[in-house]
Amino acid sequence: MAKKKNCLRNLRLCLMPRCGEISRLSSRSLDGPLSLGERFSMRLHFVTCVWCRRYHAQLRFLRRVFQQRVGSAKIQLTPETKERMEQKIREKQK
Amino acid sequence: MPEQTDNIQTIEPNVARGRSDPETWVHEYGDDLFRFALVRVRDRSSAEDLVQDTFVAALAAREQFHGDSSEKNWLLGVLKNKIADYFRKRARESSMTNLEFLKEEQTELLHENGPHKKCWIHRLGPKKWAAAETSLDREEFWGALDECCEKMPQNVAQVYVMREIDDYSTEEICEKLAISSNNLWVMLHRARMSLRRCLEIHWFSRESE
Repeated sequence: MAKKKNCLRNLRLCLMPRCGEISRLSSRSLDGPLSLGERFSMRLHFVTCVWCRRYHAQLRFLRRVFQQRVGSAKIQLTPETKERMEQKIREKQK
Repeated sequence: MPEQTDNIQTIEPNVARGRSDPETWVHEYGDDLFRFALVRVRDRSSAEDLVQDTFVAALAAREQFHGDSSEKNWLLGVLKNKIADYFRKRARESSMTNLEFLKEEQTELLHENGPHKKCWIHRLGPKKWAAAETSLDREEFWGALDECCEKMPQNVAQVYVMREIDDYSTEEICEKLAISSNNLWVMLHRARMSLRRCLEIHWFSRESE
């Protein structure tokens, strides 16, 4: 009985990596294609683990947000700094 | 521009080569260059200095610009070199590897042993991010994001920007920085992990209270 239980556990470990491993796969899936086995175990894990599902969705959200921030028109030089730079260019041009 | 073709002989060489008056540069390109620099160096005054240096350097090297690319791309190229210099200088001044940051930060959120070893401790695991989309309209959200980005050590931030913003493939980054792909994956993983955790603590937890 104990042996059977142990065997099942090993099988589960092999088929279903733990959250720590899944979070690494999650990140790597944003950088290139995973192997078929990795994709499979990630998807399988997601079925039962809401935390890893969230983690993955949040990483994707972060990527989008980070990219959006760079394109944000709100990041601007202050008028004073612009004035200073223009001044400097005028000086150098002389 | 059709009117230019009529008197092509009399056109000023600068205009013919796609050069604009340097006095318009700040107005035309200042914000774009600043944005580019800020996301990389993550410090306003350094970013301002880099943009300023870029204009000065570009002014001196203006004769070398022949209009093969747009003027903006040319200035961006100058800025990229300035940023690379800045990083080189910083790397010499201090070792930027923040060991505290690079240690597996998430271990405290995962069960250390027992049947749930390496599984999320439920109350510490990723929370539901309430109203994530509407956060984007709030100024404070972007402030929190900036602060979280600032916590990343420079080398981690650098690969993160190369990957997410410049859209280099992992192979290209490894080649450019001469690091192993395993090393790169670890850095990207840590960058995302820490950014996620930081935002969760400093923004999303506060929201739900």
